[in-house]
Amino acid sequence: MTLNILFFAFAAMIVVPLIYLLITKNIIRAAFAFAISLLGMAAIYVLLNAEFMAVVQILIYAGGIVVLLIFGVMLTKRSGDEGVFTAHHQVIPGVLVSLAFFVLLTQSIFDVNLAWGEEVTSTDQVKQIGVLYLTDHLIAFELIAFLLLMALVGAAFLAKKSDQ
Amino acid sequence: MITFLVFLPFLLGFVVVGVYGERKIAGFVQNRLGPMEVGPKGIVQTVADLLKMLQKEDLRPKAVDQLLFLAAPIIVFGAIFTGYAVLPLTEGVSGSVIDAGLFFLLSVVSLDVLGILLAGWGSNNKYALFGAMRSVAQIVSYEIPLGLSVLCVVMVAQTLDLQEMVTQQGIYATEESFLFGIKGLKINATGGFLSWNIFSMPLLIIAFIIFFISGLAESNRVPFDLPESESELIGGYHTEYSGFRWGLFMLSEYGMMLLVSFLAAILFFGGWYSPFPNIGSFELAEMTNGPVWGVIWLFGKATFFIFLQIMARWTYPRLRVDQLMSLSWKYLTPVAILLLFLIGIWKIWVIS
Amino acid sequence: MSKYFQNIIDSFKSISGGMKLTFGYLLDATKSRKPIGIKEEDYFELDRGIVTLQYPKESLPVPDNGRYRLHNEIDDCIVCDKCAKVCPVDCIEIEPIKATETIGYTSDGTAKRIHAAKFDIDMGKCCFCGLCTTVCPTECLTMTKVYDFSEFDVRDHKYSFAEMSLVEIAQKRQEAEEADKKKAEAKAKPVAPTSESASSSTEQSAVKPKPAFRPKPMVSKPKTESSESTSEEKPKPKFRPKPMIKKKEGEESKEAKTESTEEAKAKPRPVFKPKPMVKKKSEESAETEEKKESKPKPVFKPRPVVKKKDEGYKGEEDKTQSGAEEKKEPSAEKPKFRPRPVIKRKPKDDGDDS
Ligand code: SF4
Ligand code: SF4
Repeated sequence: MTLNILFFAFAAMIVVPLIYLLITKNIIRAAFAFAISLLGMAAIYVLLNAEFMAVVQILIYAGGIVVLLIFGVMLTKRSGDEGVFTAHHQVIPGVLVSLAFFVLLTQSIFDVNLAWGEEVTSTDQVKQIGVLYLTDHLIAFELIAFLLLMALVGAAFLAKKSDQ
Repeated sequence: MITFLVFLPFLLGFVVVGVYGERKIAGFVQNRLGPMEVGPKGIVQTVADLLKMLQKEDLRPKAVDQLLFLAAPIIVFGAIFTGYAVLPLTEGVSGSVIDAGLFFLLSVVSLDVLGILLAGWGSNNKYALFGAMRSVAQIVSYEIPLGLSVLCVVMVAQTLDLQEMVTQQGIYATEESFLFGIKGLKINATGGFLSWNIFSMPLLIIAFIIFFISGLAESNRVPFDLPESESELIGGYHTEYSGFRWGLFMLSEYGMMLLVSFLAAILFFGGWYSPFPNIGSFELAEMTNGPVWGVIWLFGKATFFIFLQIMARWTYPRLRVDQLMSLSWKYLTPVAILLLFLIGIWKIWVIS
Repeated sequence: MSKYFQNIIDSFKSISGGMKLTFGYLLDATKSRKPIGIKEEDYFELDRGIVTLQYPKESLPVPDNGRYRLHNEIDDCIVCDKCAKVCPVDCIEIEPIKATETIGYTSDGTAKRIHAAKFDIDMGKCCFCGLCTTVCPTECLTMTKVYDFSEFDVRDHKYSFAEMSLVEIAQKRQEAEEADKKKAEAKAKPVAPTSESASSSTEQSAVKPKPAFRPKPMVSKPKTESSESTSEEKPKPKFRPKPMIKKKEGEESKEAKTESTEEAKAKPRPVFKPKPMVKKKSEESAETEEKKESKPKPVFKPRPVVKKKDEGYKGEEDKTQSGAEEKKEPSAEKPKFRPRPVIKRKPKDDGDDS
């Protein structure tokens, strides 16, 4: 019961900020709302005993991506305007696309067989994930690592002073 | 629950004592006396300051973004205080038992970047914004060496649970531990300071130095206080704040200091274990370990690191921005990566 | 690459060096400075440990000859106005009332002839340079070792040393006015001689060589000067006053010019003479020693009163100009040239200077 209440509370925590995000024109506030909804998602992960996922969610999304986003907005802010605002462009195509996407997602959710698996226990999650990464999913793991390394090198290269 | 019952009061008390201690130490280092007027030797000076601060008018400048402005201090303090949730208090007692405790702590604490950013942006003040930018750039950069140095410890301990990590560093350890990482010297029975991580794996000394430096940077303390740098930015991201809200930022700064100190104690210096080893049949370690002793040792160690941080603050000048960045990216990060590699090798080939 | 490692080594060195330093100071903090004065033997030994003194509770003893708040022993003050004139920030305000006769003697025997209706020192303005104490002829103005005299109201920094009541002031002022009136009347009738006698009511006593000399400069200048000048030159009494005035006017503009030009001009014009006098006054920063120097000179004084004055001034002037002896000579010689008083003197002075 409490679990249910918590679930809906956190679900609201995800949805309400997202709606606000759609309405507001203030980009920074939108980013802030986005961060809150990400935290709500992390909370849902915790409810599902997926602590590691929750932590990653916070670390990568809330702590990393949103900050990066805000940072980007701030750095590209044109001087002289009051805050950073956006306008609502192309409302009708946007609504259509999102509706289509919504239908697609709901359809697929119902199509997927969401049987309740056995409940995950939280002990040794990290170890299991680590072991899986280095055995079953080694190639994916290595590829991601390689991709990130390339991104890093690329960033360093871009940041390098050009002599020309 | 334990977090709220123990750490919150302790944090509040610590801020009072910490500020007093900081001012006293600053005074002594500079051949002064520090606060002397309020109470004997100025002991209640901080309390008086606190009362004054709480009475201050809650100023909200007209031009600020109200929502962000009001939310920012709460986010910052909330993020940092959440970090305390997973700290082990003493033997078998910790806030919440999370498997990925250490990971959780680091990730949650990194959220305070968000609060700082909002504070800087919401204040609608260029100094605040500058401070926030610097702060975020700094915290994000130093999170990497911090994470890597912590990872070194994780590799040694093979767990992310802080409670488990502490337990391994003393006489109650279930796994074997060796002095100086040399296989012959088994010291499970001896315990004491000899079985602390920093002694059972000498390479961790370097990791500790990296951790300590990055910790200083994370908590925006001198010599990494560019975000606040009163001399240039007036006060950085909390320029526009006053009264209780400013107090929250203050509290978070000290909270972060304390958290880093706790972490240092837990990761490298045996957490709640007593520093006294068993000497032969004289079982000093047994005598000085236990739930109550544990709290004392842990808090004692944390206080020591706080003291170190304060001394660092009154010793070193502030780094320039480019020095700050090159320290993080050119020195700490490569060294930490190298260390990670070396410790992995050591762990695989020397110990097991 | 080697620079990279050198950087690491250097920073470790400097980090540990810094820590050593501050820890040293921290350990020293157990020691604390004692509130002992500069006169103690080990005053300079206490260079370690805490230096703070909690001021109102403990304070460094100040030597007895500390130079802080001014004090005027009004009984000894002859209201010569020197201190007020020399003060670079004009913080001494004196309101003199001429007495009709000697009103008493200071503790060193100088006669007092002027009442001090007001003697205020604004310690808020004072820069504690001490000039006023050095020029004070009776040494009644001194600096004391009291240094803690902060006030809540800046006006309280004005210290009044005059002791006269309002009634007394009014009374004395009236007397002085009456005396002035009399003098004026006396002047009106006869031209020179009477005025001399009238004004010299104070000066009469001065006929004696030394003491006479002293009081005069102290008397407020303008009045006495005019009277003296009239009295001085027997031959052409009326002539004199004029040049004097001119001199005064001219002096300011002339002073700006270089001395050489001054000298050149000086020869032809008698007007020039007074200049040195004026200068002396303004430059008076005279230290006490110089005054002493000036005292010996009066020996030549037996001559007319006015002469003496000049010499006295010259004596003071000496510091800036040539030695005192040189001047004395000219003054001694002068009497012979008397018939043509003004012009003759000039050349001599110039000769001396050059
Ligand atoms: S100099 Fe001395 S005697 Fe002359 S007025 Fe000043 S205090 Fe009085
Ligand atoms: S000490 Fe200097 S400033 Fe003060 S009253 Fe005397 S002459 Fe003026």
